[in-house]
Amino acid sequence: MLERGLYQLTQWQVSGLDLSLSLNISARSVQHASFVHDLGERLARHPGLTLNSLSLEILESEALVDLDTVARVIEHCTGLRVCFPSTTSAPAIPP
Amino acid sequence: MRESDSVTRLSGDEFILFLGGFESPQEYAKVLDPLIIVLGQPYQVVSRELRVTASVWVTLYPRDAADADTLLRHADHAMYRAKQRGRNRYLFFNPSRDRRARARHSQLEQSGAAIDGDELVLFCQPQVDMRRRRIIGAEGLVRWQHPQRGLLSPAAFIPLLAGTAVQQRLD
Repeated sequence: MLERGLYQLTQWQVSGLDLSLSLNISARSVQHASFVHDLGERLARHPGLTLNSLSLEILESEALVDLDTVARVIEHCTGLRVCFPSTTSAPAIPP
Repeated sequence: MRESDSVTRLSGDEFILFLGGFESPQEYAKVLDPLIIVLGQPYQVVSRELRVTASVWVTLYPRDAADADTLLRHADHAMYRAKQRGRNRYLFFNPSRDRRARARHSQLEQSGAAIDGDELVLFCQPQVDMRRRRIIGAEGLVRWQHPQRGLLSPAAFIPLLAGTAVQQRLD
């Protein structure tokens, strides 16, 4: 879905639409060791993409197991200009 | 063991006991309780005292299934749970738990196949800035274009995938 979202976002930008896209992502993916690396590679495959247009929301009914890892991931993603809107201010542990 | 019972060694430290002629569930306990106690007795080996523990898993014929292979599979499931809950005990195979587990497994498989078969689509829901009356962005939401059940909302399948490898693939 991330791939499709990036494709969609690129399409919009090519058509001159300045829109941001927010996607849900599972805590499992975010906590995967190669998440930041894979995300960086995906972004690199869409060079036309305007930065700051993608945001990811951690969608999980389970709590995040390793908060330190997640905090590091969010930090790295900020470097990639991908934001976690609901998680940068508070950990996303939905009811 | 009684005259009418038989014992088979399946492999390594796994044995199968065939016990018959029970009229009520209480009667199994009369055979199984002493069995666990006897197996738990310490063994004197040279100067050391050794103990073994046993996990016993029970499946009932004809209640649980009709054929030998299925009965063994049931026993295997119950064994796994017996070990998880600690040794020195016996557990009965639970048919409704097994049905639920199998249903869940099959749903997970179908969801995985849906990813492979490109049946999942991304719908974009606009986010509108009401004050400026314009669309500022979109939220991407997955839908399952199910060949039989039609377009399914995330609520119909995402909760089931929570925390699984399938969900990770979906991302």
